[in-house]
Amino acid sequence: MDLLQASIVLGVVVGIVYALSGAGLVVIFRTSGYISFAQGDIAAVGLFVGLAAYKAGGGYGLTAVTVILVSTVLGGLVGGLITIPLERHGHLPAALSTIGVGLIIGGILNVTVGGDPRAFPEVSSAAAFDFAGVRLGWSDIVGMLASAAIFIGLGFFFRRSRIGIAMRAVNDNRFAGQILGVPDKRLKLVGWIVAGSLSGVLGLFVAPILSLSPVSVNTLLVFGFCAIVIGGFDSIFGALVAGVSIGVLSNLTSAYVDPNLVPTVLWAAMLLVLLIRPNGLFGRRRLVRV
Amino acid sequence: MTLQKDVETQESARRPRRRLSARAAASTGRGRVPARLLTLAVVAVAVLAFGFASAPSVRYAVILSVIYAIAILGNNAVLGLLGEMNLSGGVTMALGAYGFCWFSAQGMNPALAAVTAVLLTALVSAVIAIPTTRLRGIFTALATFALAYAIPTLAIYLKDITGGDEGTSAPYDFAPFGLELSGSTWDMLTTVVVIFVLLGALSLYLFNARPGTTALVVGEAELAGTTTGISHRTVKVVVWTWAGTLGGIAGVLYALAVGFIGPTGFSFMLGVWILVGGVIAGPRSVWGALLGGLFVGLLPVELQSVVPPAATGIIFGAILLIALLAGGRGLAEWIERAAPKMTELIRRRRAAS
Repeated sequence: MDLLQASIVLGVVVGIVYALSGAGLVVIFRTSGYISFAQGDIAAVGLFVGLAAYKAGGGYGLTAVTVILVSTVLGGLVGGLITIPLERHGHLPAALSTIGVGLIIGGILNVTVGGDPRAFPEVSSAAAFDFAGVRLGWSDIVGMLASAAIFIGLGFFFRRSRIGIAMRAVNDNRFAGQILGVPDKRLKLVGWIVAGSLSGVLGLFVAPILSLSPVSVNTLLVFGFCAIVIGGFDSIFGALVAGVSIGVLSNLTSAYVDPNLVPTVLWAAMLLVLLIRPNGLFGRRRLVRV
Repeated sequence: MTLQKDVETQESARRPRRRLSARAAASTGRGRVPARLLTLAVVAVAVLAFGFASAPSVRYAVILSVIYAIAILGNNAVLGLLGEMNLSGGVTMALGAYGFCWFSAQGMNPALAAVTAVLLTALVSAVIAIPTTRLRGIFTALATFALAYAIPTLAIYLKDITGGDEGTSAPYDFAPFGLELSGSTWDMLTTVVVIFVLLGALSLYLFNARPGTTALVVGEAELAGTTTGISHRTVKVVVWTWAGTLGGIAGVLYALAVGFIGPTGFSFMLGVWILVGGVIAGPRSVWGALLGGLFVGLLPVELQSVVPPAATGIIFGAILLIALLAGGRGLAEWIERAAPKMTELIRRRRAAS
């Protein structure tokens, strides 16, 4: 198997997952204007509950539903009870509170289930077909298709649906939104709920690859952060393009240079993009009225 | 033009320096320099006394706490003045520590190696700050998070310099002025506390002088700063470099205290702790930085007898959330606000009786 082809094809496959992790962050950013550091931990809780359901004899379908349901509810609870109320002190405390939530959830998981990595079931371990000399498994295909569907759905949601447009309006100009009767708190909560379920979906794709531990999904958030910085904070399409580029770039680095250099290369790529285009490749330029 | 300038200088010279109100002093952390210096000295002496009286294992934790406090003090400039999140506090500590070990391994005099390592850290921080400060507000957190995440693996990759997984050792026989600087010695404790106090006094002075005003304007109202001719980008780079320099100093001291450094010591959580310590204790307070260091360095050690080590995250997360719920300005400012009220209360009681 050709190393170059394998790196590129598998890079695209994981890149879409990276993009998904970025998309969850963009949803919160679009409505609230800050980034959540707790999404990985929220997904981890869902995944551990899902694993328990799987071990109790539930099939993969039930496991997946449990994971998404738990992380959706938890995402909503964290956003609704802790982070959104803290916004009255500003965006910085709200963002910091997600670090606090992450620490608490991580600590609880460490105490209850322990830090040892566990195997997590995947959709199917069977190989699907060969593409450009690279064998793709069914789980890769399902992951790609589901992510693509989510991306298209999110794109439509933010561009076409009434709630999606209102959610963007809340962040763009909160006061104008309030005057027009846009329920900003409730829309932010919707953002958190959507982001929670997205992180659950992300966890389903990540856990079989990285194996499940309280910190495994967090690892992926780093790639998500890079994806949204490179792609532009408010662009979901940008997150997709950047995610795929990051996937290919990190696979090439790890194949031809050294796997240990991957995070550094990502960071360097991010800084390079910031130097050339401070708002990311697809981000809008923020205009300030003087 | 010259005439106008003359008028300006005259006016600014004539204007009397107003005393800040108690509330303004508490919320900005400016003014009342003698009182603040005194508090800093008292807290530092208390930490010293506690360290001397404790068992070596606890003293070691106190030394590490003060070292973290130095990094927190630097990071607080970014957090408290600019209102930006910096998660690369651990990165600059790693740079300082590894630089110090490498330079002294090359045969450099340890004192010179320490200075060179700090200068190198300052330079690298400045270079990194240029693109990083292009990001707004909390989004600096993402860039620094990615960097902090990259450091342990980068250290493994650069194994010729860092020793890779196995790590590298600090110079054993470094004894400037006859001080025994390693592990949990009394000399080490005194040195780190003295360095902290000096840096604290310096940052207090800078904060109350022109640089502090400029940085505060950029952080609080960037647009206003720009219109009055302040280059916000330069100011930000300078503040980030200051944070990096203090991180580098902390890193050198860390290498001396620990004696042996490896990639596991500089995980991205170190940067998170440095940030969180600043938030809990108060990002605009100098003695608060010392408090934050004790939170980060000493509290986990003390907690171990009460809760399992894995659960310290829960306690920290809860303390952080409580600190944020209280307004996100930290324990130090809260005490500063409460203290005058308490003295007032006591005085009234006395007057009544």
